[in-house]
Amino acid sequence: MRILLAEDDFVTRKFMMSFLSKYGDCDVTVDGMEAVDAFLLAQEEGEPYDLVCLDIMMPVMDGYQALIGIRNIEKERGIEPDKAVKIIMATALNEEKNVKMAFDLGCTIYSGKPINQDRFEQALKKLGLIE
Amino acid sequence: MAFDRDDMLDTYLLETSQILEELQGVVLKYRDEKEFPPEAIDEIFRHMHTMKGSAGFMMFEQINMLTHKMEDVFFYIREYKPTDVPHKELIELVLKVGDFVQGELDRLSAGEMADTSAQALIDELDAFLESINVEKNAAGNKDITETEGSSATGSTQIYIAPKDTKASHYYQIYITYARDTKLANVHAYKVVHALKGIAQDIKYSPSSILTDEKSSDEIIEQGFKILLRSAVSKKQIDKIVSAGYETDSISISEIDAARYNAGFKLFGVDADIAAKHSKDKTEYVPGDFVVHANAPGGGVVLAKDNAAAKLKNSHVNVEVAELDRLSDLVMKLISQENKLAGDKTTDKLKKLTEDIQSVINNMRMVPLTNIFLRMNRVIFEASRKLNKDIECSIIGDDVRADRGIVEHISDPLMHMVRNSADHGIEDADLREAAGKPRKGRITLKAEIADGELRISVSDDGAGLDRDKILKKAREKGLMDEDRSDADYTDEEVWRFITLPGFSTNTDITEFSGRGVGMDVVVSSIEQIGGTLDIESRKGLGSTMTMRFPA
Repeated sequence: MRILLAEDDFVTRKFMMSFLSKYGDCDVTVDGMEAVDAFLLAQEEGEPYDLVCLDIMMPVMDGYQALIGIRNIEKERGIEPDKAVKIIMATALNEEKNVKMAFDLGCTIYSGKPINQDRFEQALKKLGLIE
Repeated sequence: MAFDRDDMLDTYLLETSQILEELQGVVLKYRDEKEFPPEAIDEIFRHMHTMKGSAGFMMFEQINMLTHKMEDVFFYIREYKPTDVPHKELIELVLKVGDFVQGELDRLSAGEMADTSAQALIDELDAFLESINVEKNAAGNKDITETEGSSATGSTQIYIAPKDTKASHYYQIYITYARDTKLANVHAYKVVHALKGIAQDIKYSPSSILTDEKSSDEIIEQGFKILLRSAVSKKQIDKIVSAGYETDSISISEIDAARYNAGFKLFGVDADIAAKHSKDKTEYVPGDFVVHANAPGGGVVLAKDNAAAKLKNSHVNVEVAELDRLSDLVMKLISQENKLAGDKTTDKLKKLTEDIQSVINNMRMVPLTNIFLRMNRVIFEASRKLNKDIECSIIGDDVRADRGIVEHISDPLMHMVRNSADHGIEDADLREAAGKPRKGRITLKAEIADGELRISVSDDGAGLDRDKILKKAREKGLMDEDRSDADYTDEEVWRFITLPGFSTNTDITEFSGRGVGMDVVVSSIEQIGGTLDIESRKGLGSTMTMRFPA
């Protein structure tokens, strides 16, 4: 599975990298705009990501904006909703309105930080991303 | 108290326990009947469906599977209407499912996981389903799985709570140094450095301690302030901070998250006052969480906080009451001046006081820009929730109004806007049939004319329904027995909807809610010295205008 991670904090990035690498090849970006660019690039190269993991608080574009960007690219390319990439928002922001907004914008999994690894894995299984 | 309880879990617990209450209510209501009437079957099915969905969302698999199975049972009863369903047994099963879910809710409230196996109960439900499936019709069961299966794919959304939601504590730490302390800034930084090891986030003030030697004086004069987010206890922090950094006094107190996020402006402020100020009621929008310059000591600076900070720099918040007092004083000054004999000096004095008066009047004025922008957002949200395409046009948002008015028209305005979106604007198909553009339009307008401030909300929707209002007014005995419907002018008819408890809408939608009626809107406008005019033309739309003396 191809995974894209966007995370601006070094320590968290390091942790998330090693955590996500268990499930597939993990590319890394450090802000929201880079993430959208990476997503588009992968689409154009015909090797789209299966999973995108976005932090919310990031420079240039935040996770919400990146989420909107990615969903719009998919819409523009005519990708069916059931073929759309699974997007995980992983963040320390856990106010209800943060979570609601993420789901309204089309995120698949919203995970609080620190990440509950067991539940995370369970969710990936539920989505059929891993066995 | 500073536990950072997970918002989503709280919401789940609250919503689910409400459903359980309603579930129990409907089951017990039909306890002594022979069977559930169709509407009760529908209701139970719906409750199970909702619980299944929210448990799936929170990944509480056992609750999810159990409520799914119970939903299957009611789906079967609803679709295939089997006769001779053992009613008592069914009631018992529903109650058992309710008890199981309640037990899991209790566990979750106590900070445990909801992972009790529901298998035994699921087997029981399977057996029950088998027993009422008289025709032993395998296809029946297959139907169930198919219909349910389709909804489970594609649009699944899952929420994962953080690993330990009780992990974060928030502290404010205030340290003072003796007057003769040399390089107090370096001492202060040592404390920060020591805390970094256990900090999830740390902010300090003054923030330039490493680069600006003058900050040493500021620290000695005003003390050194730290805001710390950390998983460790107050005791441990006390230990770290007091480990011989030549401090004069140290005070550590635990605060709540909202206060922490408010930064240093609430540092040391009484908890009650702080709570008032830090309540963040505004909605977020994408882009609010863009991280700006990560300055030393500044913690993380977000776009949304930055904008607020900019405003704070050029504006000072003044209580309206203070302004009132100031204008009172100037009025008194003017009346005293008028008693003075007229010469050059008093003329100058008078001119000055007049200037002061006009400055004060200006200070009371604020533009309507913000409030109109907020309404734009309300319309946007409403159009999404109601699945109607509505555009918003704004006219005169730079009009300035007395802050006493601006501070109080938000609620009435929001209510009027929602009413327009919900009841005014028709569905797109209806609009097209009536020869209107499919897209509805709500116009917010402010103007100052004829010595008054007018703020209006107009829509190009269906307009008020005169006959419906008259009928309702008759029913409620609000009309004069001697006057016929035709005797009433439109103006008089529209006035009825502003009377307490009057609502023509038989099916109140979830969206505009049932709490506030137009009567509340009118009374809150009147409270600030305004009036409300209603104009409406059938098929063309309505306009509600608030008028205030300018």
